[in-house]
Amino acid sequence: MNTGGFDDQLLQAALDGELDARGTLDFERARAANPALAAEYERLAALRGALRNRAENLRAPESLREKIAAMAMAENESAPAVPLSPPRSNVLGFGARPRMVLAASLLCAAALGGVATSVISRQATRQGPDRIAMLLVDDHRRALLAASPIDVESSDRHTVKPWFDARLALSPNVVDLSAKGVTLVGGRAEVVDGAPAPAMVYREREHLISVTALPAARFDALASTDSVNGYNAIAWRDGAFAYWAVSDLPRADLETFVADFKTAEAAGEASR
Amino acid sequence: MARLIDPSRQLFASVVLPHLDSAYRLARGLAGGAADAEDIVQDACLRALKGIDGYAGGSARAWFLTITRNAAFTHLARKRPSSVLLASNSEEAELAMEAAADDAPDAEAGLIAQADAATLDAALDGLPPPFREIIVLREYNDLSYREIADITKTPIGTVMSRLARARALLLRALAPEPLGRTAP
Repeated sequence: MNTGGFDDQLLQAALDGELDARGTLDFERARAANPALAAEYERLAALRGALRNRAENLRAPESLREKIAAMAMAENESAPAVPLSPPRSNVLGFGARPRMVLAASLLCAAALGGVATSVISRQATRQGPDRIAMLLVDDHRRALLAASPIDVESSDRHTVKPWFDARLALSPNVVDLSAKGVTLVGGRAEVVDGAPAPAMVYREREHLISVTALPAARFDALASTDSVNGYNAIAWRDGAFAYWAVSDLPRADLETFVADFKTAEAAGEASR
Repeated sequence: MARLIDPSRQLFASVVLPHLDSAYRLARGLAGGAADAEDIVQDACLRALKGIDGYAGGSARAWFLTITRNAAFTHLARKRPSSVLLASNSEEAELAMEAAADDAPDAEAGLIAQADAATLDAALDGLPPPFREIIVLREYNDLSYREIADITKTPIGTVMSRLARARALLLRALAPEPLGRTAP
């Protein structure tokens, strides 16, 4: 292997992302100065690409997955283990198999947390703006549970707005409310009912507020308010967007926030 | 029909089911054939179910892959005893491969990137087992050096040197030496 004198194992580590910042810097410099090393890196990267493509196509066959799921569903330890190679259909009957798989996936869902299941059951029953409020409250809560409630961190609306533009091709109004003691924390991309939706995140005292902009054409939300699981949601419409603010702020405070938001928005429109 | 699911099976499901693809890839990489890989994963699942109480938290994937690896070795030892090389033999195997191959030829990266599945599988199959394993763990399963060292119970230095050798051997197998080129 011709690496032009560069340590072979360090080259591997660079390819595998196992170098620290210092090592990465050294490697990048060596690569720029050393065509043999650069060529070797290209070859290794090509090999990696080919292997990873191959791996993408290697997935446990559905029949195997079903057998293992069935194994997990057997009633107790003394029950006969699933035969190692059951014929595909006639041992358990056609009806049994999908049911077991369904049961197994429900089991997984239950293991992942009761929250998700209760959300699913409520989604099925609520309709209209009600349902949107619920979806958005769930998004807000999930964002709070995630490692970071935002995808782009910036208190500068001139950073957040272009980020939405580039990411979602949607450009909602991002207003500056710092005069009101509310800071812009950043933004995140949501998917609401299958539609990409920009969400701005503000902080008032210790409370986070998510303001999600939905395309008004699809989500024809009249001004409305709602409360889901202790979170308040307020909707209003402005131009092409239906805005929803969701927070654990008390309702009166959230209403003040929304009023400030609208005022700032109008001022922004006027000054443009 | 209400069924009672005992807790260890519930744990088994949450630990093993999400990592079936990973286990299958490892088994495919180690054993080659699809049928062998399915047998290995089934056996690994039975072992995992039996030993689920030994799962002490931590990376479920690493735990299950370790079991899958053991199941694969058992399977291979039964099926083709002569082909299983223990880790301690790897230096020997490396020397043997080293002797068989000339100095690395130049090759177009494009040629390597376009290698089809059958070519890749054959090249991988041609590697001595310890090298094949390291490639499968790293590239098929995207494990870190630390995770690979834990699963194979080898020092990180050995993981790194094997990975370097394994990749060099694969490149040689995939990129045939250009005509008229003499080794330096």
